[in-house]
Amino acid sequence: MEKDRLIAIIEALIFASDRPLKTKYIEQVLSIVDLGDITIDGLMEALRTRYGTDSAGIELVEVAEGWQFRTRPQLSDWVKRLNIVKPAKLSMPAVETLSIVAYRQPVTHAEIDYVRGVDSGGVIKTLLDRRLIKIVGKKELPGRPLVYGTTQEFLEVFGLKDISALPSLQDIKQIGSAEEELERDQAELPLAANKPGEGPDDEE
Amino acid sequence: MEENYRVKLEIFEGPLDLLLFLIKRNELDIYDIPISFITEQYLVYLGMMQVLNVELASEFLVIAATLLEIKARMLIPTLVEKEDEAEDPRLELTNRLLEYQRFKNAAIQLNSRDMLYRDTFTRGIHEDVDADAAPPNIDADVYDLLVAFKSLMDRARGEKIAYMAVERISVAQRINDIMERIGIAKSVAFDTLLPRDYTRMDIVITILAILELLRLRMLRCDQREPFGPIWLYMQE
Repeated sequence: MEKDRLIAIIEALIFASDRPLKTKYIEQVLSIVDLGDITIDGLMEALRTRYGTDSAGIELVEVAEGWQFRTRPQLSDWVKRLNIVKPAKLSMPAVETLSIVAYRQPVTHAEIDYVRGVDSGGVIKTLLDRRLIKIVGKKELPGRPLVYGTTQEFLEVFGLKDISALPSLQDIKQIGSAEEELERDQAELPLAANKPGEGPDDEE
Repeated sequence: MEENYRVKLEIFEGPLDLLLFLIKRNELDIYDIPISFITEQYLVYLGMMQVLNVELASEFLVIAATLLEIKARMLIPTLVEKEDEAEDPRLELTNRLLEYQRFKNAAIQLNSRDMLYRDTFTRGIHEDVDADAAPPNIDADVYDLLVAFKSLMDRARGEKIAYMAVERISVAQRINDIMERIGIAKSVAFDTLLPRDYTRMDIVITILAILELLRLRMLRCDQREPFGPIWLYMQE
């Protein structure tokens, strides 16, 4: 079968799926076709490139070990004007707690509190309600405290292919200090309003 | 001073955040915190927050006490001969601050990603489709659940006693099963949660799982009529 036709089939499959479509399902559907030397990965890449331009309103993303069409982030304000979507925001304490769970899972309530230095009960409840974290078991400690981990939903919301797609804490540390330096530089140059290279033309 | 207005200083998520702020603002070295100075600054801020009638979380006071304790320990001359072996009393606090800072940065990083339903959207978002499929709400409580538990136990009583290897399911596993089922169906009748040939163990584990979920307010349970089936819902 021609490559273009295969790409069209995959495009249709992803469009028809209401959750991120796992590659194995695409493979299953295409198992009756002799692909020759064409690989699924190659087809996915071709399809992704097709949507990877500014002229497209949607893009193809790999999240939670599956493929999904999503609106381009640059267009989010327009989509929100449609008023059919409830914009979802997370407070900074919630994101902070979520990152502790993400990097430390399985983690107990007490461990989260220790890192944050404040009680996180309310935030944990919010994250459980929004299904960004879940109870993954109990710890062999006195009182058998519950331990929490992140969910599939978490990967979907943050556009992560899998949990290992999170940058390592080591990398973040460097990014963090780089940002601080940047902050300091900007503080010294309060009049430098326009950073070079921050034109409207250099999205991605 | 019984007036009912409170100021929430959004900038400080907690005592560690305040400490980090003080360290940064005074351009101090986090690996060599001048404990006397920082304690003084910290207490000044706490005092200010009290004057502003800010509700102080008790955790702020815990850290204040920790700071004072470290300060006191540093004033006591060490009797250990080799100075290297004496642990720096500030070490634990420094490590906590570094750790907190690391996660704070991780959170900033996470928050800067394109978030679903904030920056990017998927196709066909619609509000709760099955919401009207749920039966009318009559609140049932833990006792109704226990009555249902007893009737299940009675039904299970007829089982013959035979000893065999039991596949043990953990409560946590059961919790996940239940949440998964309710996540799909939105509401589930209590007695359909059990496998067809359930044992006492199954019942006990299921009850424990549900009680835990109710305690965490992740589920709500209703009963339409006395002795009727008990329905479990996802807590909105």
